[in-house]
Amino acid sequence: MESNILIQAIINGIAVGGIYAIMAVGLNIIFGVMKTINFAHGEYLMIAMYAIYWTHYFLKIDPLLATPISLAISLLLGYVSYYLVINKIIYKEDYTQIAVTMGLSIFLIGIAQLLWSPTYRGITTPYATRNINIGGYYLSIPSLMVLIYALGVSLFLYYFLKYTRVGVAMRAASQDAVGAGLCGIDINKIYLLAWLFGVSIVGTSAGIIAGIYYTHPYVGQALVLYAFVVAVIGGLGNYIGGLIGAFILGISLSITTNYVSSDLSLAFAYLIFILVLLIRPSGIMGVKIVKRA
Amino acid sequence: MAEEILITNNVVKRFGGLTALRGVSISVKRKEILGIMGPNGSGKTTLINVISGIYMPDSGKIVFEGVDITYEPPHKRAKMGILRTFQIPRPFRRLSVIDNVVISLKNNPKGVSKNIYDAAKELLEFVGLDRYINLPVSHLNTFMLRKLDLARALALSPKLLMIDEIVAGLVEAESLEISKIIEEINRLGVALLLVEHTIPFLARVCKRIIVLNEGKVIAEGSPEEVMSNPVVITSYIG
Amino acid sequence: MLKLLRGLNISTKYNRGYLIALAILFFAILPLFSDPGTLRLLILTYMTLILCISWNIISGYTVFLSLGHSMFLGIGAYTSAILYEKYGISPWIGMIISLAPSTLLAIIIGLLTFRLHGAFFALTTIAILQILRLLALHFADITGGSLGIIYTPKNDPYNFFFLEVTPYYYVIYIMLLITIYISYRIDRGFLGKRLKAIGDDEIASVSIGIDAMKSKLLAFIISALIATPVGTFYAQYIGYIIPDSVFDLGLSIKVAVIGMIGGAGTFLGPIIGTFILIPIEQLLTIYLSSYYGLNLVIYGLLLMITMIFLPKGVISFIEGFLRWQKKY
Repeated sequence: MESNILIQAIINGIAVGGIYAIMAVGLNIIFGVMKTINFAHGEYLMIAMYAIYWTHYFLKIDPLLATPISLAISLLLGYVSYYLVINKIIYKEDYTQIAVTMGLSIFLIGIAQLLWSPTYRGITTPYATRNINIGGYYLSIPSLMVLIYALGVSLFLYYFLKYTRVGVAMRAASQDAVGAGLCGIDINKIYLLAWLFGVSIVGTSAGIIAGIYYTHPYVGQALVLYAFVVAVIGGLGNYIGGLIGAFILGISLSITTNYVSSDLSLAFAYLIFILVLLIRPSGIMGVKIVKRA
Repeated sequence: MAEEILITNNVVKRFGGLTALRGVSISVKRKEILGIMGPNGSGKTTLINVISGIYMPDSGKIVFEGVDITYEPPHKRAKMGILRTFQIPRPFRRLSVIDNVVISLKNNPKGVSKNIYDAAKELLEFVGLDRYINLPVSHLNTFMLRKLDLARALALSPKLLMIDEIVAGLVEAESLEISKIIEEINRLGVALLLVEHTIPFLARVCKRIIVLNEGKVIAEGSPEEVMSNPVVITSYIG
Repeated sequence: MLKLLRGLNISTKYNRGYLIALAILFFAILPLFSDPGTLRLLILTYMTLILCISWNIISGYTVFLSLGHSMFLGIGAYTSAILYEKYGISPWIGMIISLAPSTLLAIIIGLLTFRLHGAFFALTTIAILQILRLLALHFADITGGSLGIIYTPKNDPYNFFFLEVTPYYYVIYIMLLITIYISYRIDRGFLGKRLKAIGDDEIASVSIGIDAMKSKLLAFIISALIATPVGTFYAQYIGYIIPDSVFDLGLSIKVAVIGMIGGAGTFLGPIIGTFILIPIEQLLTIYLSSYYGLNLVIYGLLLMITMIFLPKGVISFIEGFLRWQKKY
């Protein structure tokens, strides 16, 4: 194994991991604070990507600059879906949450297909194919942006959760919702905020993602599965774990793609997921899940 | 035959940073009615959960009828004769009242000698639910649901029956009814472990009470001894 | 109209048995007076219904949602197809042999995930489905890869090949009747009650002696045994299998959605769900095919509305109606 190829593979893997990390962070917030499983997570990205695409198509605005629009759309969609659907299932069991969010996911994909047809739509930006050179290794500009965004969001979250009043309230709610409520924290507002955070983090990345992946109704589906895998690897509800898990997955995928055929490497990702379930279902940094006897 | 049917030896149980049980050693004698008392958070329910097998202890041993059952799964312990009720009743909501008991009877290791539905009816009569037999569970109030929990547990012919805060929130008449049922169960040879928050009910039916506080045993004795024990009094007030 | 509904008293056993026998007979003699198009639609419906009942046995009762149920379809299809193409083994026998890998898979998945939260089971079934699909794509020399396996149409009954639709109709119809019978026995029997108890409250169920792992494994194995032969049937009927068509996440989810809307954990739920949703889907395809995606919108909406307002499914609405009818 040439160490050159290995290191390049690792760099590529980190880049791919960045995308998974972005997806997983939102999932973790929603699960961590609201204990809700969001199977529709990918669709918020998908809708935001369409917003970026059409803005680019009609107004010729660069996707990155159109980010405020995707943020706005995500917040709007998040707000509406929260009050119509989500707040009715927060306190229900796993089964209902999976079912309803799946219904939401199917609904949104259907709307997207209805309005914009299943056609794959790509955006080419001038910087899409450019690379930066790190000591002889290459990192594409879009990947760099993904990494910057992923790390930026993680840092923001870190400080937000630790030092702001709202952030601390969120952490309190994620540990003990009843207790937090008794301390005077408005749980419903916290839940809404967590939800909006979760979906807007993934929606705001649409400006970057739309330049990397094709926009189509199933783009969210393709990525969200990795998000779940990563969240489990890192520990459900744990944001830092999600980040670590994303990079581990990205790098392992990248390395296996190099040495094994690429379609099997996808299977490998799922295999890692199953292995984690087998060995440590609470993930790397999650709270030890009380296994049923 | 040993006098003790159940012994816990220095059981420790932690949940993340919280230690719920800090080395609890108790014993339950055959056919006795033992009371476990303690303020909220003292570890009473955790103790039941560890004995019934829902949790595995972090350290310590649990011995039932001379057999080490510390790592046995809960369904095996139920079949061995360790049964329990729940603080908040947990009926099977998609099954009718009688089916709740029937599905329990099905697991009785000794088998059921007569028609299983007749046996279930008898159990429901025993706890006073005979009029609600074919109703869905949603029609029962809390008092009836607690009795259903009891009937379900009895269906497996328990040798040790652990009852978790069954009289909380009940009026005097209901509480009396429960104590009568419990005494009847005891007369049939079943050892009982009653967990309660306060003493009046326990004083009526138990000859021995163990007091827990913050995961440790702080007192043991007859109801009078326990009630006048200064350590116990401060743990509730202080 | 209301009077007519009141007169249709289906609560007596005699009337019910009579109606059921009539229905069975009706669908049995249907091929004598229908056109192949209708038969094809019914075959599709029957296949979906069997898969849905199979899904219901594990996921409806125990609340462990399988979202990758198509995996059994794929195993059935590929195992029998490969055994026939490479070793000349009749697909009838292949159908039986393919039960083995399915059962093994069900046991492995169950042992891995039944001790954890339901969400892990759901994700694992999706993961396994994808792994199988990717394996089928990759090992092209065995499975034909992305080109798949194609059968030439022929008449060879001993090898499960027919030139006309009718024999296929009868095969799947018999499979359906057997499946419905198994589902009925489970629902009325103690296994069904045990599974419902586990689904309602697993902790309480183990506290009264139910071996939850054993019951769930049993349910999952039965589920696999029912679903797998449909895969072989699919291969023989359609004559063409590719990884994306038999290891299909969309189909897996559709089967789960139908089960949930119809009424998960009930005997009639899958039947009602399938007979409502498949015709709707067909109507949409015929009349509104230009509105691509409309069926997804409707499925999604129905699923959300049902699970929020009628969590026990359409069947609970019908039962409520019948109870109202009884009062008056």
